[in-house]
Amino acid sequence: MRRAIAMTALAVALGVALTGCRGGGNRDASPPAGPDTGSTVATTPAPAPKTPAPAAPADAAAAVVSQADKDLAELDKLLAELDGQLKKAEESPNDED
Amino acid sequence: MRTDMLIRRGLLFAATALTAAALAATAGVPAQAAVPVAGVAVQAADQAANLANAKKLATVRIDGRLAMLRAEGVAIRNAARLTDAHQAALQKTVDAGIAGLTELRAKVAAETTLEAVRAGTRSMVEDYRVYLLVRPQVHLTLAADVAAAALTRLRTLHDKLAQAVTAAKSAGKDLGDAEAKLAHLKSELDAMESALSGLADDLLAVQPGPDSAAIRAKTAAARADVRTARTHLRAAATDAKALRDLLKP
Repeated sequence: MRRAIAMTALAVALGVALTGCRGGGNRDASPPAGPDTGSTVATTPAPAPKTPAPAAPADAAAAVVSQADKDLAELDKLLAELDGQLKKAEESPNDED
Repeated sequence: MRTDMLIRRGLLFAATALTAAALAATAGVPAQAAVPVAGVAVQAADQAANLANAKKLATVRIDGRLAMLRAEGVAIRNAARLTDAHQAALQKTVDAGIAGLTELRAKVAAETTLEAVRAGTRSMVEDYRVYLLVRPQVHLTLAADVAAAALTRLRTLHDKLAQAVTAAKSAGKDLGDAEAKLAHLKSELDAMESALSGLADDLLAVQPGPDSAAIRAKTAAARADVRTARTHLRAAATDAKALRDLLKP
């Protein structure tokens, strides 16, 4: 009788242990509660994620200056193209016709 | 006896005179008749040569226009800044010109009179106005659309510069006359927009015709508007460069 109870208890314990391993995902998914002090490998805690700070006025101005450089270079090209088209549209001796 | 001699001499004189007159008459008639015949032949040859030369000249002038229209077609298709509506309108004009002038070229080649060739030449000029109208239409519309693209870019840049100036002043940076420059930049952009307003559409609405002075006046007005827009564009770009320099750290 005792042997049967012991066997039953062992089976229940084994079942509980196996259920804990599969765990429905909870134990595997949840992060460790604290640092792994029992490990022989030292791990450093991950740094806390930084929240983006608002851009400083100097950074914003630099970004605008950079964009302005690009826009002004493009405007120089557009001006050259405009000059070229105007030159082609000038009156010529053939314009009598 | 003496009387008989006088009569004989008179008759002889008369006969001699009549013979001379007859000889002169028979010698003169064929020569006078040959002159008109030869003149008609020369005239016909001259007319044929004149017709051939007129047709040759008209064909060369038509070919010059066809070459110009084909070149304008390439310019239209390669223009990155041209709006779709303007591109379609210009392409339609160029295609119609090429089709019409090609037909006219064949018609002129088949003409048999100088008057008909002259009428074809007049049509070549007045019905198409390739040099006086189509060429300026293409290049001034292209110029107006390039200027419009520059205007859009400068408006966006103005807004960014204005925000940066506000932020920099809030941070306590001394930006001198930045706000005055911003205001000037905006006024130049407004003036540019005013110069470009309706320019291309008005120019594209001009049709060829016999009144070359009216056509020239319209193309000259469009040319002046594009030049005005260019002047304001340059001034606005100068303002934008100055503002960029003020914002540099």
